Amino acid sequence: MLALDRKWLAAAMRIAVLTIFTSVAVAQSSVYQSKPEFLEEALGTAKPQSDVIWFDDELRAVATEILGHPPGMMRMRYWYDGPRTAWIVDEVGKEKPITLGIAIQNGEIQQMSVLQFRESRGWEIRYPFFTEQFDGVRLDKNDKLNERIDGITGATLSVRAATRSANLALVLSEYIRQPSQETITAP
Amino acid sequence: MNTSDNQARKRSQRHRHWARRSHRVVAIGAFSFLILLAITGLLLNHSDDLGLPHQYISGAVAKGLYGVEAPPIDAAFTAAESVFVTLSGTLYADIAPVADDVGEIRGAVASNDIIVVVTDREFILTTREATLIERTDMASGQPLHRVGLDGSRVIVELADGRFEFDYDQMQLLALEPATSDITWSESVQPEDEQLQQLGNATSGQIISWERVLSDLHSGRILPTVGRYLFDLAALCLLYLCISGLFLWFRRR
Repeated sequence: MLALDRKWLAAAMRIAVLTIFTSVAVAQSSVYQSKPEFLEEALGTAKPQSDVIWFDDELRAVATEILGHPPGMMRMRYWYDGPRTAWIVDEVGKEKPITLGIAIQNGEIQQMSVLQFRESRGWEIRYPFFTEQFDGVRLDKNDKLNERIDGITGATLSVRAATRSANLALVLSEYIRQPSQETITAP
Repeated sequence: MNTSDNQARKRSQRHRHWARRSHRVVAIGAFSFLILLAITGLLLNHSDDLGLPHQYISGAVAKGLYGVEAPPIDAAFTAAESVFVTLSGTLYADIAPVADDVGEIRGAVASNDIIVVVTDREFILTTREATLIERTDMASGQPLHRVGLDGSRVIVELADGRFEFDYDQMQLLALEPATSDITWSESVQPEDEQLQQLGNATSGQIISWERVLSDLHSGRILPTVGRYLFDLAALCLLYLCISGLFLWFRRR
């Protein structure tokens, strides 16, 4: 019995040591891709056309529900080349905004990239193993993402920020695709 | 049972007795520290769920505990009767925050119903009521020097020349026709009342509750001696674990 207890104790000690010495990743604020680089990659042109979408009361309410807070600006710019649009969204993870680039075509995400990450934790979302989850994602009938996005341990808030940003970009892209929608200009 | 067995048994009893007493003494001595470590640790573990990074202690407490005072204002610019300043990375219109994570303000002008605020690295558009419309950073990466008006045209000056800023497209255009009749945005000195209000507003937004709990957890809340006191508490906890294991084994 004593020998068994010691075996369990030895195993517990090993687990404890591993837990104690598991490294905590520390990352500096980093720019992974500039906005012009992303736009060129996403739209295939160095000088894409751009337009803005203004947040009227209705759209502001929709955006607030998606983001969990009102959009920080009165209008959001998007870039386009034919049916393909590119959106650059700044959304706070824990304390600082994460800059994400999202390319959408025919209501489907074609590409998501983390352009700039400003916090010390959660930067793992920039890797393809995470961002590629968004490829092909669309909106469901409730205007939510139609695919479940797997999280990353220790990066929960960053994952949520990326998910919200993708959701918002898809909703806005649908908004501008509606044939009855007139070109929005400054009020 | 022979003499050496008796001696071994007595030695073992003395060890257990000593371990029990020291375990008790250390536990009592470190009791309050351990309670504090446990409570602050629990709160820190759920800090995000409790919203602690975004809840701040008051300016007066921040000043008392950390000696934090509102940082000095480098420059202020007026546009459409509002005074724009940047403090701790936030752009303020009078005392209302407009945008976070901004650089150093370089000027502000009002053109028609739009206010264009220029920092060293971006353009920030607001309404006349200082509601944020849009912001964009400099595509070229060149720092912005100053901003001015030529009639209703917004003119910006960079290292390699002057450009017109198109605030619909948020991009720089060649300055055509060229002009030298530009009214540049000049820095002003804010009024004392505004400075005081800004100071109160910003110093109460510097130290979060998460930071305070973290400093309590590590002992850094007490300068110099706090860290070592909590090191001692941590060593006591380690000793309690080891002595507890020893006593448990011995009992078996």
